Amino acid sequence: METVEIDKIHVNDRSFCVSYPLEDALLLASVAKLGVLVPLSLLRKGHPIIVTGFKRLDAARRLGIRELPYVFLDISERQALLTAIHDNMTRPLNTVEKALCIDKMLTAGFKVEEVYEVMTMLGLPPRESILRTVISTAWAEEQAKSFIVRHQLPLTLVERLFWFEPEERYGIIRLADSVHGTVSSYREMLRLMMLLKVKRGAIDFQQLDGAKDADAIRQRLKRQTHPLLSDLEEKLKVLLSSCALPPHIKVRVDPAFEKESIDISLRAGSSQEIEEALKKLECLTGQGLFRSIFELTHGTPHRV
Amino acid sequence: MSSPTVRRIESKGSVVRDCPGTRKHICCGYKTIDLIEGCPLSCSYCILRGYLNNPGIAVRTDSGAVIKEIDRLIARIGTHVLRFGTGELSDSLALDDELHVNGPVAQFFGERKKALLELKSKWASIDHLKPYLNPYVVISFSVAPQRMIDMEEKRTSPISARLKTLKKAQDWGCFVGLHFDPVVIYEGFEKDYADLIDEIAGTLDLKRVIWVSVGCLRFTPPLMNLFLREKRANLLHSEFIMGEDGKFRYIKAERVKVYRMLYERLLEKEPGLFVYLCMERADVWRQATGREIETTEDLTACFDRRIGEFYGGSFA
Repeated sequence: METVEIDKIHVNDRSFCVSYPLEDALLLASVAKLGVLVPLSLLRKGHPIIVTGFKRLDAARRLGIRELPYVFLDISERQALLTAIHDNMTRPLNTVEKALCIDKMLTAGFKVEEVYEVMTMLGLPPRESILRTVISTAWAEEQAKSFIVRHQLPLTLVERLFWFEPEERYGIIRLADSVHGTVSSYREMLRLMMLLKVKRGAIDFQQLDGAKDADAIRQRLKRQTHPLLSDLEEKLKVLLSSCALPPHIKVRVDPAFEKESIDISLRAGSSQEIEEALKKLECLTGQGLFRSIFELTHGTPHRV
Repeated sequence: MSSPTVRRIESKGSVVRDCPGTRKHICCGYKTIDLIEGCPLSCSYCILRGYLNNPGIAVRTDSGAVIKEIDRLIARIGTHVLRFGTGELSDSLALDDELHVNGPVAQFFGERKKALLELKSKWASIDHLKPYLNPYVVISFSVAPQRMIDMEEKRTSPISARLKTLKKAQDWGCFVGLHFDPVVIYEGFEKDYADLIDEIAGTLDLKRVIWVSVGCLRFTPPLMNLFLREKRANLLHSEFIMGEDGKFRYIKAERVKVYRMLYERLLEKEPGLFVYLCMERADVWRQATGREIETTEDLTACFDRRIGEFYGGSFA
């Protein structure tokens, strides 16, 4: 197989690069052990430029390898881009890589129908709104791209992330990285942040700093977006903790405080346990616990 | 009004349905006639933005078949007075001057004299309907402070035009309805709604308003996403929870406060007004109005009594 010196390749031309990130620990280990087995695909354009093999090139450079196997492709630039995209489709692509595929097609002047066809192959709904998000992703700052890939954010969350201004996005990423949440916790966090931004025009990140985990951030955001509901939750928490319910008696209140009724459940292994539980409930009723809870679920004092 | 793409379609299956209502909430038991699907008014909060998939407007052309279906339903249900409306999947009047779909249906209700047709709208145009109007047709308008209309109902008629049109309908002998729906909580909404009620009382004969509905803003999760994307600060000003029907609505305490305020102000103007809450819970009914409305049947019975007050025994 013919080889080419890396210096003779136009390595900075990333016209056909749809890989992100280029660093790949597994590939690096493989190249270190066996060298680059699959040749790079190159296109003649002054200096040769790479069509496929960007990750292999990156691994080789890191390992100090100077020569790589290659094949020249005798195709047009449009065909070269499609070759790069289809070659990479053989592995699961992350959201940023999908975005790069689509953005490069648009830049290369492919028709919208052709772009939509590839979007469908990549599992992206072929819609204008999705296209907008995809373009934003492809052009995003490095920090945002890296965040999206590290946390495997689906496109719906990426769309929410790009709804914010770049400075806000920076704040969100910094905050999210500090607590290592799950995709669902980021979804809720972003939803509350959007709501807060719409309601107040800005997000005060200082108020959110120092939260110990994603749930603490969610609670702090919720106190701002849902002050009445947070107040009800807080009052309920105080009431339930003050009455020291035994673990086998549970009192459940509708989380939205819509239903007036509450659910009380008890677990018992004998008649005696049932009697004890009922006594406890009677005692709590006498102390006014349930009246206080019903005041919360009624939502407002009754009409007189 | 410039007309969007209008498709004329034949009815496939039933076009008269029970109002879909909403789970675990009390419905007024209204029947909807889907003469038109789609609306050119494009109000920002409209539930149709999340419901209808086809852009443009679809119009049923076979009014004869539609009327037969209504007639069969009226004949079958003798337990209470049926109320029908064409404003569920569209605005009843926005395109009617051009499409003329309501006229024959309105005429039928006048001849049948056994049920009511409510034409519900935000578009102040009824002159073309004058030959068809009769006491069995209720002209209703959604009402909102002009500030709200300017922000969220940009293509609709101004409130003053809506009220003038209602007055005209009253002058022609029709009963009219008012729908404070959706009521939106925004900065300064209390004063705006108080002023609106003053304006209504100054324009209409409240003794000839057959019903007034009040319903706070509620919407599906896809609409919440849309409001967020469009930064609808006005619509999202207050605090929302997810109701038992899976729709976002204001937290209960806020809804009760709003309903009480509107209910009391309206009754101050005319103690005999029939004010009902749209898609609410029994406990909210109780707290806001002091009335025990537990089920859709309870509310339907209230409507029957109200209709009895207005029409006497003519529905017997």
